[in-house]
Amino acid sequence: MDKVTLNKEQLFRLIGFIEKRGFHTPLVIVEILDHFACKVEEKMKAGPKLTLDEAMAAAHYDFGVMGFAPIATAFEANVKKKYKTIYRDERKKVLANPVYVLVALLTAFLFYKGYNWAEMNNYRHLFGFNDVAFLLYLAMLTAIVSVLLKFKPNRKQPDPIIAAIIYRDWWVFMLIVGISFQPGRPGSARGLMFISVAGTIAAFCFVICMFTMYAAMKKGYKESLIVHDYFKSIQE
Amino acid sequence: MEPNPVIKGSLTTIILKLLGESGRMYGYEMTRAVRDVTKNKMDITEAALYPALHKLLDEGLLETTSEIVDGRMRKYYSLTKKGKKETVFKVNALKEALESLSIILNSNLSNG
Repeated sequence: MDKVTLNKEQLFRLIGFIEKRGFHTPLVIVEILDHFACKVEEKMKAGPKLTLDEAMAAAHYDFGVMGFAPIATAFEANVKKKYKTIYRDERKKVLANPVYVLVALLTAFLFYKGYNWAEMNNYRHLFGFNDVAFLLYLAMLTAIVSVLLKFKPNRKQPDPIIAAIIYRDWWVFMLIVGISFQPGRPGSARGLMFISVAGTIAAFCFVICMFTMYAAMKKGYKESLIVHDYFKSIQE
Repeated sequence: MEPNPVIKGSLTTIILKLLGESGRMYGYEMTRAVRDVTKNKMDITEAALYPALHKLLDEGLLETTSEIVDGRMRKYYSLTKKGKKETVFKVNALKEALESLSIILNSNLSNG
């Protein structure tokens, strides 16, 4: 029998079959789809009387008891590792770029000056460290939301590439701010110095993180978009 | 088909060898090639193939390109420069190991 090639409608049904097995992310589905389609074609070629449903069931059986899970798991682990490396490389580039470093230093300096000014002029009730920590959290949240909006990952399912980037370095920032964010901290000179230095470091790290995340996201989005566009074209 | 532990341990070498011969291949093509070459005596399962492929990608031995073929996005794997060097090394190491194994299996070993 001649080569069997699945048409668009049949591929759409294969996607439905994969989704029914718990895989909903377009990147993961596309990773599974070609191999699964090849197997289904092989089954249909060997048994021309097989229906598509029967061929899909037979092909899925060949994947073993774990089904598509090993492909999905291996793919997601690879994405995580790949973007960890990309993120690191981008961070190196950001730290080597005088413009980015200058912006980060300037932000940190402004924070330091602003905080100390508030302390010196008895405006602590207006601009205490807890307020600053809260503002930094708010800024971080705003920054993440802005980047997410810019790169639009909200296509029903979380995108593993974007997730791999978003969750990369934030723990460092959270740790620095978390150490200092203590409601009701007594205002000893040493304590205040510690808070202002920790906040300054946090502000510097925050800006560097933002530039890095943006650069890594740009790369990730490019890769993700190709798959999403293809996925969309099949479903149309 | 029960996965053979010897084959499982040599899977990365088999993948590197296949890609060294063919230039570039996609996942299904690799499983098919192994089946065809060994006349169905050996089968690579997807559960073993994809983790191995991603491990090789992580190590920088493989790279991928994607193309739309027959209406679906197909990922082709090929060797990097580092991968080409590693293939020679790994294939030779496996050949030597198999030769040693063959000597042991064919010799008449006796105590004393």
